[in-house]
Amino acid sequence: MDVVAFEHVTKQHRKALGRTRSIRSDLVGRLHRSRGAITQPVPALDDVSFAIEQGSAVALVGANGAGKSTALRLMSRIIYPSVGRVRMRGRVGALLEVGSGVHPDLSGRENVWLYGSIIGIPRLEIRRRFDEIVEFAELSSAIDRQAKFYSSGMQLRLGFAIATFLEPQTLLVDESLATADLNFQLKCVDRLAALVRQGTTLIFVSHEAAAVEALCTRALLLERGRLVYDADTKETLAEYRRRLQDQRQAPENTSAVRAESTMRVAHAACLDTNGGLATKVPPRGAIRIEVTIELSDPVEPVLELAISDGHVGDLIVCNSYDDGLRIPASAGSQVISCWLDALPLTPRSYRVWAGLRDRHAGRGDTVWSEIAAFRIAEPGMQTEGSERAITTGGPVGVEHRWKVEPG
Amino acid sequence: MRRDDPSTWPEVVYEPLGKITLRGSLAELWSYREVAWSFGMRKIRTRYKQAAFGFLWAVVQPLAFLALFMGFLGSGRNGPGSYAAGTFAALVAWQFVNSAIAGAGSSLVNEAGLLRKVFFPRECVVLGGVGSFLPDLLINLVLLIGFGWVFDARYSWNLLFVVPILVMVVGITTAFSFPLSALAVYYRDFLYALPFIAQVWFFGSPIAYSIDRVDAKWRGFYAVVNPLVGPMVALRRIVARGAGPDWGLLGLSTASFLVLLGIGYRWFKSLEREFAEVV
Repeated sequence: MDVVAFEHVTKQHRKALGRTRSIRSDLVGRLHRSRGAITQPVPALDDVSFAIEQGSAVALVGANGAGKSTALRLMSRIIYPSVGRVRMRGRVGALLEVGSGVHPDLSGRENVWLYGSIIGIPRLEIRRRFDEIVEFAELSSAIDRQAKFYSSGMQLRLGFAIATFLEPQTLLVDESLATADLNFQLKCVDRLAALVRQGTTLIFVSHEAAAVEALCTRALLLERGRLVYDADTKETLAEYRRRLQDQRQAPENTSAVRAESTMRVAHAACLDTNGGLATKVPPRGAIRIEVTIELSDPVEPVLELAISDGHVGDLIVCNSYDDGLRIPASAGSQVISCWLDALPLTPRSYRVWAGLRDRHAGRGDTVWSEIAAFRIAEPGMQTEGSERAITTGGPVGVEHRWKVEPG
Repeated sequence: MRRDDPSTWPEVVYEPLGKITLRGSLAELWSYREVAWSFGMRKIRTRYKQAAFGFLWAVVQPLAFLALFMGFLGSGRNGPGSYAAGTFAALVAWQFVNSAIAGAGSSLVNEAGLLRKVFFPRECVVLGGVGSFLPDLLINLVLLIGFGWVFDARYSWNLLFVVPILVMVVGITTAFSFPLSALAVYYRDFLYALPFIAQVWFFGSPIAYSIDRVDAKWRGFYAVVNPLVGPMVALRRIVARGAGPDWGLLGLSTASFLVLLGIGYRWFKSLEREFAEVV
């Protein structure tokens, strides 16, 4: 039985149509509109159709502005489709932003009651689950304080606890876990997984690929308002990465066009010590990154390889020029290998990027593309299913010692 | 919790031009009545949480206005009966209209955060906003009945009509609050216009003056254009003279108010779907 169904849904945001907020400018705007042509902006969702089975866990992935949040807002009935139809079955609970549904003027306690009544939970049920909610949100000491005095983390915890403990039949979670500390993120993922096991339908939006993989079996890829891919989570994420890579290589401005036309990454792989594809690397393991570049003009290229953990900024950057490597300025293809030994990375997923530029061009002209991803395995945990989705602690691990002595 | 067969769960369909029926809207509102209650209770709580005088404000205002009118207009010159008692009764009703219109008018805008994130019938916010001023009205009503003799009010069985008439005043306020709050969502500058509109309405209603000031042939028209006229005239007559309501005027105002309520609510419901995007 489908609990969510989108039938040719198109959503054109009202604000995008140039709705203004003062009477005077609206009158002026109306005059203009009657005279001039209306330019239709790109819709937030464009003819999207899909259905979600009861009890399944589905992720919506895609870049910012792809329409993921719009889809969730349509499901939770906050906004209505411009064209098409949204069908929903059962009680829908939503966690759309940090502390979504948490009202600042109310105490934590009042918020639990208000939000519960908003999503249609009988008072008896709220009373029954109240202590559990407070305990899960780790707010027992602050429950009678006004929510405006909560930190954003506390608001998130309260919102999450209310949304999940009042057991909606369909739960929508949007990108809100990112602000929680890692400990609570883990707790949330566990909690969501438990709900899915109990039969709650989960629709999950996150840029945290690891969390998406851990929770969802199916993923829909949205791109500029269109549903472009609908498959297993792993497949969709791979497709998403492929598309990101294509986009990065796509010409964006004139200098990029030049870089694109003269040099490109034709093939790349991240290999383990045996020469196989390195998808899972043991802690302090070694990898070899092999990049085939193609030059159409005889210009000297500089290759940079970078590793990131999905957050902003690279953890490791290797620059061929800085390391004294001169790549011959000869047209045609060349294979460049870089060995990275004893990676000081902790267990989680990492992405590998390659950047190419003309040696005489500026740093900003480097054209980056994502070429591979690998995962540092947790020691002693080799089976797929038992992987922890999110690891606490920093991405870089070094050997260290402690000592305590009386001062 | 039991995980029953999902095919028994009610299906809801959202369409751009989905029909809005009065019956459906009211049924939904009823199922969300706790939300309206929560909004109202919360408004009451937050209003008096950081207030020095609390409920006293509600009492002080009509009394202060009464003192002003007595000073400027003199007493007893505006028709039969006690001017002070009649005016005080009308002021008690007006106090509610005035504060509730202001509170409810901005209520949707103030709940922008929730509107953008959570679904519930939007009129819950407006109803909660209007309802949150009911305790003030009740206190003033007690004051009116209990201390009316100070102003030389006439006690009679007709006093029983005061309660249904005040209920009607609450209804009129609600009827106006729907379109006003919706307008404020679209046009913020409308919030600045609200006090002005309230002021015009105040002088356009027989509160400071008696209906006798108005030419008899215009009174019916007056009661239709401004549905507050019927109840205000009735309040004055009951409290100042111990007479019954002017049924003709009250009937005209009631009809006008019911039409306004219907139109206002319908308009509100048709705009409601856009609130989250516009607010």
